[in-house]
Amino acid sequence: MQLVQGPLAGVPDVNAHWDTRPIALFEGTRLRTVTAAATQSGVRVAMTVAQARSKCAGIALLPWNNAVIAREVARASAAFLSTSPQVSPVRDAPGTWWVGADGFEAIGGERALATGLLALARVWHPRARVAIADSCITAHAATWSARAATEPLHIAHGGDRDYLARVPIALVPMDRDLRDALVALGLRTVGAFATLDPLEVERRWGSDGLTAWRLACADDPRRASLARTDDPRTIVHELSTASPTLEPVLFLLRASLDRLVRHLAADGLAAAALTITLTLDDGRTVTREVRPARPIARVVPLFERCRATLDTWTLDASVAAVELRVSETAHSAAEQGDLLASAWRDPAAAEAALARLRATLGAGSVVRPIARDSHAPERAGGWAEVEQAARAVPLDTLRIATARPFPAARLLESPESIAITTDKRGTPMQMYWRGRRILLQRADGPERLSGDWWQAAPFARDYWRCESDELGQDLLLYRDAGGWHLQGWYD
Amino acid sequence: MSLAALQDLRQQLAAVVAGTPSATPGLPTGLTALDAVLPGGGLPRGRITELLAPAGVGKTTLARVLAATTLLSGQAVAWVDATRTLDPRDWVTVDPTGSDALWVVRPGEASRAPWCADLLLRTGSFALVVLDGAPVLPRAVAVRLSQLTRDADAALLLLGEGSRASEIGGALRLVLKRRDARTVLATVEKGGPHQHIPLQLEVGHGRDIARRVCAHPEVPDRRGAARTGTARRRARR
Repeated sequence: MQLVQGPLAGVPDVNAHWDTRPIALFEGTRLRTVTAAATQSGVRVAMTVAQARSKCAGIALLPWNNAVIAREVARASAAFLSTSPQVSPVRDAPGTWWVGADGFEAIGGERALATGLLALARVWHPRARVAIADSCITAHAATWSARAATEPLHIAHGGDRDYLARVPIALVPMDRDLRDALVALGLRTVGAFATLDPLEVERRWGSDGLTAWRLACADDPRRASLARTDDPRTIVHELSTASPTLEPVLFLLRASLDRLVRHLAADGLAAAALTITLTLDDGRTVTREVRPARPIARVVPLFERCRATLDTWTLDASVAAVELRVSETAHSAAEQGDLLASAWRDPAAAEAALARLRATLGAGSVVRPIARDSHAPERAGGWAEVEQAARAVPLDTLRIATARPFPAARLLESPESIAITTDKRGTPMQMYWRGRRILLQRADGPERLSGDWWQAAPFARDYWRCESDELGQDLLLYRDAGGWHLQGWYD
Repeated sequence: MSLAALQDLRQQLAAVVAGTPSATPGLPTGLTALDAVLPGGGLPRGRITELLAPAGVGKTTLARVLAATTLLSGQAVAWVDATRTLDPRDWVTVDPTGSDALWVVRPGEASRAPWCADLLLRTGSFALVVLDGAPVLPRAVAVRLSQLTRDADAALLLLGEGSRASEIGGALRLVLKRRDARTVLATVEKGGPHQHIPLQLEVGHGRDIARRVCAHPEVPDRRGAARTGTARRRARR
């Protein structure tokens, strides 16, 4: 087992390395990691931003960016793959890798591998360290040795437990409370912890304590695994020229989704969340999350979701690169289509269309009719938001009487004021609407409608239905205390 | 598996691979007289149909009957109301189950209506998409919608008031004219036998409005005003 350790750097410049400058990355209000120079100024991880500034006025504070770190880890991993096929970035510890060192006897042995790794790692960081041991915990502890600062440190085969016996207990990953308890008991080294009775450890500190005890005994289940040079959950495209619009991004997203969904389907997974990260030409990155209503492993609905997100995205700089990442997956448990049933419809596609229509047209744009309790035509019905995708309704649940069709009304969004000329009996003869004089050949009415006197807006209207040869319409007019209005027509 | 079952499965797979449209060639309109003359027994699936008539003749009523019939058969309907003038109370009975199988899309601008239809057809979830009140479709847009309609095996119905609803025309063109107060004459101008079909749509006199006596003095009740005036004149004499 070989371990390479060294902070990540974007620019491999030994003379002016970022670790020699006071820099800290923060997440929320607290620091997540700091450079060596910042540490020398008294800045520590978990400090607040204000505390860090009070310790070091010139410190550069940058936000923790998972996308950038993942990209740099992938780059370094790809470089290490030239030395060993087993390269695993350590989870939750960016800047540390497990590298498989077995089977190198015929090509120079472990030492040659360690030397090659160190040369590569020092491209990223001038003080990178490499250690070789049987277990990951021992290799990790060995990198903290002063000897590892100058050359790769090699722990002899079978010597892990003896080596660990002397190192501080703080180098064993464990819960903070457990560590404090061990220190309070006077245990300072890993060896002292390893001498405890495992049954007693388990009784006192449970399974977490037992796991830590096993690590102290150099019993580490972690291993380097065969690496994949490409992250199957992330695809990055760089545009040949920066684009001020999102049109080229859509093409790239579609192609990326094809590949990602194919990978997911092969693993029996579905995408529960996607992350789109745009790198702007001024160096900034902007990230948005796309979360379908349920996990999907189909390209079209996912693409429509992405497109809906992009439609509402206002850019203030040109796009230089786009990254699409499947940030959350779930086991494929979605409804499956019937290959032989041509009538089967994909509900996820309708849900994606619904999301896009809402995103583009705004709320209240995709609706279904509902009845309301009022006699005023404009209040007797309303529109309610469609909640979910359309689904087929079995015939036997329908109770529709196929009645004779009655005329469909078209109502103006709000009744428009008109001027009316009537005969002696008060029957409308012609109307003036939107600057036009329209002769009314026939008028039926009045129909007296009133109500809602118990509410804030009571109404009392005389309705007339008038026919106009000129417009060819069956118009719906009314007169109330405010005068004459055109409310709609029948079609 | 028997040989017959194997052959049956092979035929089904061949149909799927070849992308054969559904077994129902037409979407029934719900009006027997009209279905009888339309090729396939209804609106052609996978094609564009134009329904043209001046305002007030009854094309909305006819299209609503078609939507109700499609919903009745358990299929979803999308109606793009570009003019935002549909009266919701007329449509409550069209989708009585409230199953969200009827979508009414109301874009803020009529020019966005073809885009809405494009998006709805792409889902493949709707058997009938109605584009109501949109401007005449330019050739490029109409061609794209035609392709999408074919891919989705849906019926796209364009409602228009002029002589055409798209620059390329639909596979079927129905023109409505009012024959009398209660009857509309539907003419198949394209895509079928040129024939006039009288339809009873009762446009113009079908709705019953609740008659109520107004209890408020703001609006004078003018019913019988003439008779009242006559009585006064007689009294003066």
